[in-house]
Amino acid sequence: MERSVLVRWAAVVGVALLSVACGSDSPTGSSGGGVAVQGVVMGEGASASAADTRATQASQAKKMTVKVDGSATLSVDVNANGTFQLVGIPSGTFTLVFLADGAEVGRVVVSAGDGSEVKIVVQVTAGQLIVVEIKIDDGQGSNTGQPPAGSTCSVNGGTVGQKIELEGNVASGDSTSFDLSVNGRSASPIKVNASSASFRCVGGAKTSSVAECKASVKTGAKVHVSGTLMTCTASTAEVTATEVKVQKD
Amino acid sequence: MSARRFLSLAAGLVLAASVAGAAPKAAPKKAAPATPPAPDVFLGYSYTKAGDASLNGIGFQGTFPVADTFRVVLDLSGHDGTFAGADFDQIGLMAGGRWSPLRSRVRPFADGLVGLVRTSTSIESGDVTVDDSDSDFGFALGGGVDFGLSERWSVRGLIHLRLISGEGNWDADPRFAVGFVYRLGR
Repeated sequence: MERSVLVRWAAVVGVALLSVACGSDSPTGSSGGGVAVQGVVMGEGASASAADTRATQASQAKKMTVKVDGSATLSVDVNANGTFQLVGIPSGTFTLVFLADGAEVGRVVVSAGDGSEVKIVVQVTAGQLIVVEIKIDDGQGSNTGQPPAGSTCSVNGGTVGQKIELEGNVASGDSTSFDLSVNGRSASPIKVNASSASFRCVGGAKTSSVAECKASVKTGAKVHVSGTLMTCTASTAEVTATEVKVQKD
Repeated sequence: MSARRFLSLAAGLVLAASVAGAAPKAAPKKAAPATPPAPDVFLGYSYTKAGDASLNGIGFQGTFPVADTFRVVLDLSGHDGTFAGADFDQIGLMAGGRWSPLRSRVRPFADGLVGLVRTSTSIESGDVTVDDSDSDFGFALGGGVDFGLSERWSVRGLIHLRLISGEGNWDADPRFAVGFVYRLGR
């Protein structure tokens, strides 16, 4: 009797494993060469701070999808834990389009050579896409947040004339104009023109007036900048900010 | 989860359940007398593929017999790992039932659990830490086998398929665990 039960049990396990194996999703696209993208989409409740504060987020109802612009087949649904993977993307410059329930929430332009692996972490907040970090491993063991050689813009994921979201530390300057260090996206500080931006101090940087908030924009302050990438070369970039959120002064 | 994956998964589980359901009917009424049912605890290594991320950790289970072949199960697991440069921590708390038809040295079982899986994601970019936590509803179907080492100690291997809802999607994440079981009581 026991043997019979055990044999059946083995069959159960085999069938269960087979069902998982046969039905498992493989990353979209051909697996032979090209560029592979591994990514994480963080949700609305994500917090950013120097301290490790946690934010609780209710389950997102919106279905997130990532696709390569211009391709009918290179598309993948974001998993429940925010991870996604795309392989077989033709090398060169391509655009990742992020969709929530089919509606576009943002785009990221990536330049990567054949055999490269792109690791990207984005945050979707208030219907906007923020690139938290992007790294490109060229397959030679080097891992950098900088665009590959030959790219004309020093800010990875940035396109001149388009909206951009940046997080980093003020390297120098004041609330009118400052240089922003954004680790993971640009080797050199990005110049931020904030003369016509709105200012908000949040979290540990909360102040009682806008003037106080502006005064807290000084070297070392952690800020989130929303704006437009006005110019970008291989060594310099300038952003005109529409909003500056000071997260910690 | 794609429709193809869902259908193949459903077909697999239905087939598995039908095969499992056939087992006790074919069995004689009673096996050789063995130790009476008793609560037990399990602690061991656990692995899960959460979305595209491979996570390692530990698993804890406590079971309490409520009938000759049926137990209630409390399953607590903690996994961590990295994916795309982000750190993932996942804690699962599930409870459910376990059917175990034999009380011999080799004891296969099948179980179904329901509960919550909390996933925390964080990434450090320079001095800035961005993090996100999310609790998702899910359930786990699977089974395994206990192999008795002594009256109180056993080795357990188990496989679960965890169906977890989040990001407007259902994930089917496999989970494997192996470890030791200690039988409580007399």
